Amino acid sequence: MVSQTAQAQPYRCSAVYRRHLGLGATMGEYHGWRTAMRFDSAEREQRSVREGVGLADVSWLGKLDVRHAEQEWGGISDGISAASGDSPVGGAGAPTAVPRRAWQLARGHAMVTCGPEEREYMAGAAAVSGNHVTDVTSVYGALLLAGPRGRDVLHKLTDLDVSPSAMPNESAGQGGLAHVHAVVLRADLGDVPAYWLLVGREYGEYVWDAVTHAGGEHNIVSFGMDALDALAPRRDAR
Amino acid sequence: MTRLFFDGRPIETRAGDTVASALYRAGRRIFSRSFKYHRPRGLLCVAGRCPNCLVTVDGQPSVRACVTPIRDGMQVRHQNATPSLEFDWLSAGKWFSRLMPVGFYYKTFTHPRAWKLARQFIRRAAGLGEVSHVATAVPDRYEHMHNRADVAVIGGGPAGMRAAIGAAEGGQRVVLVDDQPELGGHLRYQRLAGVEQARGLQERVEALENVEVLRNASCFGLYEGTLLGIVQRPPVSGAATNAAGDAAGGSHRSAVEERLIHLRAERIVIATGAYEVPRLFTNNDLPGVMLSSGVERLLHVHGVKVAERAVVISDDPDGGPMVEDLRAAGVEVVAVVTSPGVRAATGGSQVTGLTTTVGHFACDLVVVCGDWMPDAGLVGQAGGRLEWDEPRGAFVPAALPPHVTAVGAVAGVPDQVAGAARREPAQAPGATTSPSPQSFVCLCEDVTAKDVKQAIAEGFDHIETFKRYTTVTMGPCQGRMCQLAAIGICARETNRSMVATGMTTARPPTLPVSLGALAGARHHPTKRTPMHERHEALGCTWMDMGEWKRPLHYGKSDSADGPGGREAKARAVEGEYRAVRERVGMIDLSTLGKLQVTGTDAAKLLDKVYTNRLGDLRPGRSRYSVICDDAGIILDDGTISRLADDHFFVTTTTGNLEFVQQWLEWWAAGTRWSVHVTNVTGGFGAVNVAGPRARELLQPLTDCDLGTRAFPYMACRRAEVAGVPCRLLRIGFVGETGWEIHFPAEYGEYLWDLLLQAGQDFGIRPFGVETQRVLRLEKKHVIAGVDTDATSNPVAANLAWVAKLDKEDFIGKAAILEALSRTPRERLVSFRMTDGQVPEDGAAIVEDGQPVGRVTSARFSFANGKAIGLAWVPAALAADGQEIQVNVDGQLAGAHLVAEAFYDPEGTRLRS
Repeated sequence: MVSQTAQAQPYRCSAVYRRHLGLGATMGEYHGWRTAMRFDSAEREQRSVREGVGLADVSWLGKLDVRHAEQEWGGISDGISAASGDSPVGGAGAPTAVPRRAWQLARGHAMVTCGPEEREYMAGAAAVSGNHVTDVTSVYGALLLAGPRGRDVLHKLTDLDVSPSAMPNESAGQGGLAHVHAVVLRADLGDVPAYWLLVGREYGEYVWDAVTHAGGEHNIVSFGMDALDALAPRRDAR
Repeated sequence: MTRLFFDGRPIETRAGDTVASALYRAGRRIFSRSFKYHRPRGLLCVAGRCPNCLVTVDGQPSVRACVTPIRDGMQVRHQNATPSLEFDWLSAGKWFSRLMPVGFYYKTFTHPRAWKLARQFIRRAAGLGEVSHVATAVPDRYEHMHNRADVAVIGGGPAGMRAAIGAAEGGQRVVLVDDQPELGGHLRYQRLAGVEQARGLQERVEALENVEVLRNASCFGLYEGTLLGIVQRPPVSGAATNAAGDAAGGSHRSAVEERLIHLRAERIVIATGAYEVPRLFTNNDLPGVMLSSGVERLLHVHGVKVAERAVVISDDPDGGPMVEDLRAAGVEVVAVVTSPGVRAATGGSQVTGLTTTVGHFACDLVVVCGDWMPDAGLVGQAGGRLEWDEPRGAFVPAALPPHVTAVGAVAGVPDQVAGAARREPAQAPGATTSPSPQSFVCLCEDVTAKDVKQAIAEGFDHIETFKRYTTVTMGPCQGRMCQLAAIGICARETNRSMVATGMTTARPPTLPVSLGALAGARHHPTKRTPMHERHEALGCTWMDMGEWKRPLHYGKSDSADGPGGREAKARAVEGEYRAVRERVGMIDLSTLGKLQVTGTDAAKLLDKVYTNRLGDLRPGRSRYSVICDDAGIILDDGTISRLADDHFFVTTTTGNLEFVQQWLEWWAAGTRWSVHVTNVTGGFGAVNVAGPRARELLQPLTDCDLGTRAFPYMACRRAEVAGVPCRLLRIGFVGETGWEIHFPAEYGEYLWDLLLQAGQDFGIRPFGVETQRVLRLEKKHVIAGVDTDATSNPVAANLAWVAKLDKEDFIGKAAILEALSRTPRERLVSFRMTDGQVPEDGAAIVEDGQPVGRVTSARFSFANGKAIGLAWVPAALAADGQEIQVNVDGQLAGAHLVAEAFYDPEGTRLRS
């Protein structure tokens, strides 16, 4: 018999939840996670991102680690591409900000990103030919560095070549970021350059602070999910 | 008006000034005192290449004043002089110079006591400034940047600018690095024709969008073939740092004072030019003896009238454009003399005249038109070398790798500029005629020509041993001012050619780089568990475990070393201990390494790597095991839980996670087994809920039957706890009924709070690492890496039971079999102290006055009322009841070995 205490509603927090509370963020539930909805006004945050650079917590992003045979990459990529269109939760109303695709990180190693509710569905699509698919949503914290000055901030933190020619939109890399391993995904928010930084959750707060520190020169702002939704509106009903 | 302060006195400055130009204009002539003899030194090169103008700026020692732009309010202080630069009592050391010949420190103070006596004085007398013992109050002073380019051009002189333009017009992405605030190189400080030419080239560079210019940026090293280390001070940030970028708002000033840039380039063009080197004559180091290029910089870049009366030493009988420049600036040129005719500069704290073969000339400036040496440090670091080209009478680069080219003066190709001063190729001072013994070859280390000759006479005649013995080329100038002269004297004294004498090896850094710049911003990775803030709210005392932060215990004892801190800690630990033994306690185990091993061959891999048998482990069961290397040495330990036929959940020690992951992947590589190892450490939070009332606490929170029969010791289940999907492992590291609960990290706060709340009725307390160490010691549970070391095998560590020798094979099996066939030299044993003392971890086990073993862990046991511990002792002593002696605070204290666990030896509580 499960007690009343156990009837309490579980809630999910990212690694920077407490840091955001400390910053006075207005919190809300986003994809089932307690997340900062806004720090200031969403409009100001959005403008700052468009003109400079902003940082948001997107740890709710669904992440699947896929180990595969080299020749199966095409199958995974196509499978995810098709699945993202057919996903039961990927249609109308879904935020277009979520990069729903497979990213090849190395030979035989890919990452699939998706909405948190469609992880199971996407995992099925990625599991072609007996690939090993592991849900690593909890393993990685995810920060979104968006805005035209985002690249300048990254220059201070990583040796990865993030120049437009080396890392155009919809490309990925991995390497050191502020001395810890990170997966960097470039998935722009419309015309706003955006880098999705996946780091070990245990480093989440440290990396948040490091990116914020590095962005100080460029007046980096923290932005919440309201601004994110405004930057990348939800899909229209089909 | 911008002002700086020198030794507290305000100095007016002008736009474009450096610290040195402002001080010189204000009348300062002595800028530093020399390293060994404390001789006064003044400006010499005015290009950051000599050691003469090192000062302390805003607390940072050994800053080159001549290349440091001014900032309002800058605090500049002299260094290495007491009490002042003008009167330095340590200069009395010159009277004892006979006692301090070259290499004297290799011959003197060889007795440890003598060195101890001399050390303090030497460290006070010699040096290059003092590092502040107080942490800087400016946390944003330094930072690192990373950049990439198709072509990196090092040097913004005419050759460098032309190379950059050529590469950019060919469509290449170019980064042009120059150590000056403006491009132009030597053209900037030459007469009008040079300035105009520089401006023209600079305009072409700035018009190219694919050229990024890094100004005030010094390249100090070439690493890994294509990685350049660059220090920019003060930096101008942004991708576009050329003039166009600045105008477009592409730059932002920040509080950063030094930026270290890691620049990776496909191709590297070395255009570092050439620099002027001094000539050798008595008192050639006096303030007021200045290189002609330094004089030109002061005249043309900073608009400083350098002196009233000057003598020019030049091999051009007319003195060339230098004489015209001095006269144009209102300086009286007293004489032009050739270098062979120079005898000595005269003067005390600064030059007052020059004595030559044709007479003595009173003056307050001696301009030395020196020889020119390619600035080829990067050439050597690229794998190339400088070769002496006899016909050209110059060093030229050779054997450069394909991706590196040298252009301009560094390649021995002087730039032809109308009206420019004539560049004499290097003639190696001292190579043809014997220099004055009292002339200074090495200004950094106060090495004279006499010292150099003596070192060679003592047998140090190879350029590399000669360098190490005399320390020539090892000071801040890294050989720029002294190498050519040293080679020249060495060649002459050994009757070898310049080619045969060779050069010393060029290593980075070629320029002084501050430690702050190398360290960069204060980014020290820290790992936090999902419940970090909850521990903080509970007032825990933190401990560092690698990058992790873990609660040592709850309650503050920050001054744990003091008596108050120790007592607070002891009280906290006892309270936590009693909660676990008598009621229920909870510890955050999120730092445990956690690996997911999946695939149809997962069991095969684990059986290969772990000593215990895992292939027959049923889903829903866990086992303890160790990992050994080929030599049977224990590398790590942990539990392996089988969640499904092809799915294992493996825990490792906190510090060995990365190693175990790599070890498993290493042994899986090339096997074609279907197995994958995924690090899921950060993805799972974990707690251990343990104590006699743990079941009562947990059962209402889950539908999973936690009864002894349904969920026995060493079982594992997947179940929801308070609505959170968890992995429950029935494991008892602390020796009580308990469950390790692993859960998605994002639920950490929720579950921690809920368990504490639900546990109130059962007297729950959170406990920390210190309490856990007491609890596990009472059970004799070993911690790999704490109680074992790089020589420990399972046989000696009493863990032979965990090595299943009837398995077909596993890593280390042969070595463990061999270890079983002989008596081990040492054994890991447990002991109980006879009296009340508690030994330190690492305390010696003593027999017959000799240390024969060591304590690995010891704590006060509340269950025993005495201290207990684990220790390595000689096998001959490893018998139950054996008395041993332990060194406790310098005194021997008695202890007895105990074979069984100190608490619940039957394991009844663990299994209940």
